[in-house]
Amino acid sequence: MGKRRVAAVVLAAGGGRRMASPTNKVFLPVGGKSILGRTLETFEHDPIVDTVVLVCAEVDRAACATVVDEARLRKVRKIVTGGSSRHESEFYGLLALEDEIADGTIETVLVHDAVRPFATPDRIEAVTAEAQRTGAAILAIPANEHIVSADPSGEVVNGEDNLWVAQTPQAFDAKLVLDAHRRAAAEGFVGTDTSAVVERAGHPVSVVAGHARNIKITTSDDLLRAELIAEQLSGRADAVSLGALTPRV
Amino acid sequence: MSELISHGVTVVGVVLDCPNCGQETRHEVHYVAGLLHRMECETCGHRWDVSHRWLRQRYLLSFPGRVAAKQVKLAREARSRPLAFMRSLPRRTIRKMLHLAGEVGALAGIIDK
Repeated sequence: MGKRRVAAVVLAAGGGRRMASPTNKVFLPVGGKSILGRTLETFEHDPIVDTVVLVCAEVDRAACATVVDEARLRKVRKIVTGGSSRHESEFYGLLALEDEIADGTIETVLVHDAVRPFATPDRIEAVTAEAQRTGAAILAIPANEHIVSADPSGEVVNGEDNLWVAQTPQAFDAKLVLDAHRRAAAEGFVGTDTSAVVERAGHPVSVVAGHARNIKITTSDDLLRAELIAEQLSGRADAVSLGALTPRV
Repeated sequence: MSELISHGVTVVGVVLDCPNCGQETRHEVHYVAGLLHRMECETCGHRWDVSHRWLRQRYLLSFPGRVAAKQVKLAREARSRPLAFMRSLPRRTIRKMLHLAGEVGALAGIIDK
């Protein structure tokens, strides 16, 4: 059997636009390099990924193209405009691959958040292999805190063990995920992430152990952690890093 | 990137979740030479400063890499547009030196505070 071609859909269309943020956080530098540039370079240098679709807000299209050009990212074949939600942006990213999925050129799709710049090659390979075996797989790490559900009054209604925190990339059989998204669109279902759409279509999703380093940069604390991770990856971290951060409230 | 550059410090406005006030709020993020220096929530004022020692060390360590990257970029540009490159070189050299002086000044100012 020949090589199964893998496409990555990188979602960069968020960025707090509903608050009229002047800058999408994917363009913030981390260790001197943009978050988006780091994320795209991960796939650029990963031999199992053949092509990348970058999904962004229309207003960020030129800035995304600049990141791609400056880093000479040859795998980024398409930059497409996203929707008003993550769910819609996923769908538009998949639609950009529609023809290649239909003719079998693309067999596996990875869906990844642009604000996760530290996905590791071994985990990408593991989740892709699992999706090629089962049809759908996500990366996740065990929740290291006790997570509970609460009703609207704030009362705990349950507390569960064996909970995992989902990460990306999430990997899927290309036809399966595109069909699931088409079905969701027809039925008006909006999923929190890609795996929710596939699960709703009736396909089980496997969990593959993720990596603690694969953080999603959402809070200001995350941005600081990202700086430290970038420092470690550059091989320049030392004891000074431990005393690097000073909170001032 | 929408930003304000003043005295060697780049200030970027961005929306992040604030761990202090628990909301998604606008933050001011300050960089010196592309290195994170300070973050502040515009709603509750929660602020993080990177230690001066770390900032200075990272600046010095990143400097050779930045010079090397600039050389590669300039060489690429010289090959693709030699005339335009030669014409713009004196102006860009002066501008870059002023920029570097601004960075060093900003770093010294931050460290002296």
